[in-house]
Amino acid sequence: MGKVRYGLMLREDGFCYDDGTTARLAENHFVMTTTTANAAVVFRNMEFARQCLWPELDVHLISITDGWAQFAVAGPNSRALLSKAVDHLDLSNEAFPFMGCAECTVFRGTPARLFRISFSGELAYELAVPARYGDALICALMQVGEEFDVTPYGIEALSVMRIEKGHAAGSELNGQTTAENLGLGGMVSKKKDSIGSALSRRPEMIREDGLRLVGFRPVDKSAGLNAGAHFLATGDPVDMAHDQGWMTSTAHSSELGHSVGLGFLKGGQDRMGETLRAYDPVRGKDTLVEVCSADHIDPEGGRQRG
Amino acid sequence: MVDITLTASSALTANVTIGENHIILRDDLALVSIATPLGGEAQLAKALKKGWGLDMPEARHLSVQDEIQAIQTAPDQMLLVFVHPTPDANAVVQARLNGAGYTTDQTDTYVVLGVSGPDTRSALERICPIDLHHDAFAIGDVARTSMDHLGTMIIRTGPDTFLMMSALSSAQSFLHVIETSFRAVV
Repeated sequence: MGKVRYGLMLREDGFCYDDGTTARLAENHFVMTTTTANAAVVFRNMEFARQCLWPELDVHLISITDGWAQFAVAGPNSRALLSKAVDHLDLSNEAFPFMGCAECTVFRGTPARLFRISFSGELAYELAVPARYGDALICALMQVGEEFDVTPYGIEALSVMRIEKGHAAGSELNGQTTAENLGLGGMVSKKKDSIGSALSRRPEMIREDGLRLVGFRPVDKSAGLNAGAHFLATGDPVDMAHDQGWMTSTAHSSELGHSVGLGFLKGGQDRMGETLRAYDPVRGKDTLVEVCSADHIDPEGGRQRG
Repeated sequence: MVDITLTASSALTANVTIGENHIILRDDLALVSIATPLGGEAQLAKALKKGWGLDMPEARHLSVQDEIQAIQTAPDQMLLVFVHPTPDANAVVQARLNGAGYTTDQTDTYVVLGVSGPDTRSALERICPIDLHHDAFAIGDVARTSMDHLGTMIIRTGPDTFLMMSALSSAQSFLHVIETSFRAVV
């Protein structure tokens, strides 16, 4: 109890179709998040599972998406800021570590849920209150956050940070990729059965030289990267027979001072430091890139665990 | 601790009167979902009766006792609707059920509108696909349907009065759809 786990949803064919978090608020009470676009699909599939696959299980599902207003509070001062908002809850790293969760109250008694999860890769929390208090909560957080120079951040900033951190999103988790492709093969337990686990172990799905999600940075740091470019070995002819993968997401990293990218590369996990062409005939670009870890920033995860 | 308390705000700010018809925001109502534990129908029925004098709701029809209503939302799920001003409706229901049902506060999940007046059925039939004639949809009847494209739960509470619920996040659109249809017929 009081813990959150990141999870993948597999189809029966073993491919990933969604990801999200599951928080255990009580012995038999869980709150699951999905991606926005797949919420209805995940709900439908879980209803099918509980009603048709395992009707003997005493499990019920209900959507609470509209019922809660949830805000990400991220950055090195997020703990200090939240300590001014959350009532009677020890937010120290020891008492409320990374991937912790709790039901609590904020600002003198408003019911809330706090999750220490981080899509940004920073020290971060997500704080939820009943929707009717959402507007009041964000105003209050901005007020108590003034001393920390708090600022709202939107989807674009979040997208840059998740690319810097190597977190998969819709461009990578697109229903055509596997846990192995995403570098998350270890999350599919081999000790127990789960939907999709059997077919995810087909030989073609787990081959060592299959596509793997890795990071890319331009050799010339002033060059921009573009999603959609295909990877070719330097010197190879430009044709599909020599295609080695593709760039899925790119952003300019203000922290690193150059473009960063994520992409799928054949055998990518064993090719760190290799130089490739990111060939983009649509934009008329041909850029030399270096293969690197998908964790462009803080690969040890010290920020989010700090 | 900072001296701030959070104040609830409504999804909609104004009630609407069009001719002799009224659209009223019912943010005084609490909504709590109750799921029936596997094999626990009899125990839940007993708890409902003891807690509120309510019978288990039947499909497509309200169970009512005094100021509380129960709506069947799925074969093993119902929604309690009652006036409750504070954000602790779930705890109140849990206490009375004493473990006989699994509860989830849904108060903030829906916007609830009460609509009434002589032109109500004419306005709603333009945007709702089900037959709202009183022979087909009588007082106390419940349906899950849509208004325009918005998912809606509708309850007939009187000859010309209905209670309607739709997703809170599209509350303004829901009001707009209903208000526009009223203005077209009045």
